[in-house]
Amino acid sequence: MVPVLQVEDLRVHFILDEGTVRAVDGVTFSLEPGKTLGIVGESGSGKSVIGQAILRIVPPPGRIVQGKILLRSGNHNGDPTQLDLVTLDPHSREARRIRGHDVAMIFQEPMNSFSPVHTVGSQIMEALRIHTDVSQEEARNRAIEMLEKVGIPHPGRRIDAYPHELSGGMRQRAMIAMALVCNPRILIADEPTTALDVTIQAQILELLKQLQEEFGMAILFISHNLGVIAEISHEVLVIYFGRVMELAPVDVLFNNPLHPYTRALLKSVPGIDTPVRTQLATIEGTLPDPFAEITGCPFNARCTQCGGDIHCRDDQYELTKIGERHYVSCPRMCIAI
Amino acid sequence: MSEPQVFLEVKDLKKHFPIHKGVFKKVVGHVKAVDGVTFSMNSGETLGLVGESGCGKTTVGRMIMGAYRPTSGHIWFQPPNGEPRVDLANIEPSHMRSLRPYIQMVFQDPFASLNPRMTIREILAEPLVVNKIARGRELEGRVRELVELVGLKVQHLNRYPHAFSGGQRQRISIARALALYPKLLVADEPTSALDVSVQAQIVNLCLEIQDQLGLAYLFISHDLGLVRHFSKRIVIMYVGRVVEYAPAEPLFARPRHPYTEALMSNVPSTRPELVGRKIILRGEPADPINPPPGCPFHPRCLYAEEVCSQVVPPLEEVEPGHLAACHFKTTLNLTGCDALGCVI
Repeated sequence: MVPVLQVEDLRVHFILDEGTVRAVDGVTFSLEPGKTLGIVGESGSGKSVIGQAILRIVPPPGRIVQGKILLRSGNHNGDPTQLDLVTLDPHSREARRIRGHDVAMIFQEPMNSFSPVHTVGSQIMEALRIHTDVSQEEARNRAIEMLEKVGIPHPGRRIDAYPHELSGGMRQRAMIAMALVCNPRILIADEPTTALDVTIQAQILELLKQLQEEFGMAILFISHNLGVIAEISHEVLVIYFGRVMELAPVDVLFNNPLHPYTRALLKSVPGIDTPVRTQLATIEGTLPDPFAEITGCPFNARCTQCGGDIHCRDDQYELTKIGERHYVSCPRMCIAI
Repeated sequence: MSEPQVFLEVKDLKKHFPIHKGVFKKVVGHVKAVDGVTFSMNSGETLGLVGESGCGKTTVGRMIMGAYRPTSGHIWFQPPNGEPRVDLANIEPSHMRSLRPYIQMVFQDPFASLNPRMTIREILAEPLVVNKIARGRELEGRVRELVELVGLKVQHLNRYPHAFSGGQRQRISIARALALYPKLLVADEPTSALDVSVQAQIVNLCLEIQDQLGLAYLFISHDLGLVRHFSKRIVIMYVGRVVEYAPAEPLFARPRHPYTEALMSNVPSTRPELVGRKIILRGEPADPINPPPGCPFHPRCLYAEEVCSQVVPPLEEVEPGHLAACHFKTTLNLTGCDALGCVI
């Protein structure tokens, strides 16, 4: 299938007085319509910055220093063209048209993403009125319809509610309604269920899957929770220190992970196979210093496989194809091949 | 080791917070945060307390700590020094002060629970100084012992909390809780703010310390997988009440309350081939200000019948040691986690 978005060698750096933080350092992936790509990583791995870079809302002093973000779109004749979002001025009319219309985003804490002084309905209608040519009345009807689709009871009444009048789960549903009202081709979901309870989380994940089937949008799902990623994704990208460690279809990644980091991460969650009250596998050490520039594998100091091998630390290597749609960037595997 | 004995018994514990409104702060209703909770704990054992946000699990922990005074009910505590057992729910503050060293707490957010203006040495020494346990060289010795017990180094003592990562801070707050040789540690979501790899380190540390010191844990969490790994017995709460109370193994093999079943099936699984066996509950947890009549879970329950909306089901034994509060606890054949095969 033709990807709707291609990210190539994306590098987002934060240039500070103390040095440069390479938040995203050479990330490549593509998103296909109707599919979900999960990005999983620990805090500080740079996973959220990828989403921000696509929408061109990386907060300063962060800057996209290299790479391409190719959004596929049709021109006036209907021929497919590719627009590189990196070349776009983030404040331009063009960029504003893309946000919300082609690419929409939902955030972790819906309370902070809604304006507290406007009703939920007026905020959904605003998105619609900016991007499409509809009348006030039609916009309202569409908003009600959308609220109904995301499973909010009494949408005709709730449309006039303020965000604080809704519960956490309902607010996240309203947020999804706002994101999807213009029928975007790409939805970026940055930890959308982290603030919710498990039963509500299950509802929201189910809703996203159902809406994806109906609208066929591609979802970029960012989370630190391995279980959530396993449930919603078709493909998974494991990120560590701003770099891609492993990219694989979801069943391959969870049943046959190859990168030592992915393996360690999966083992550190207690599962049904883990005997109770036994010691869990841990990843010793901590993330490298954010200002460090590491040419080789950033995981080398904590890796149980290489134990600080100098080739792992110093040699350059690339994300290498290892199986059908399965890519790994581990020097021990990539250089040997 | 001697026979495990019941040292904490919580009986029909309730906490209702009044809602004030208007100029005269008239009481217009109550938030029934905890509405009849009963369980007991043996010394050296881990009890898991599980529930969604707003179910009252933290309030139970705080009442045991003495931070809130219960509206009604009892918290029977057996002091380890052989004194007669006391009811922490109705106790003189001066008496509570002498018992407080036995019960300590570890909080969820290690960024908020450590004073940023104190060094680690000061943080660890404070409980010892305040309770007049140690001073001078003895104090320094105990502080060093504590910091090594939780896997940090003596050199760390002069640093301030900001110099530590989340996992290290949580180690410090565990060390602080251990300073007074407690018998019970109330751990309120101790790993929720941490990354998975760090979470595993803290879980391991908690297990090690328990084996070493013979502590009992009241482990409050929303993470069923973690609770299963830790606990001998588990209490499941829903809107201020206990819905199920059982040893871990039979609970996961065959839950007796529909809420427990749904909760187990909702835990995200890392086995993608199992996705689909989910019980998606309708609606949201009941409002503790105005809980529905009968069983508080009945509006969301898949198996609810007419009786559920009328009569509150009592918490009763189904099998020895396995209690559930459901009208159909013996007849329903619910699917446990083991049968679902879910990795939680």
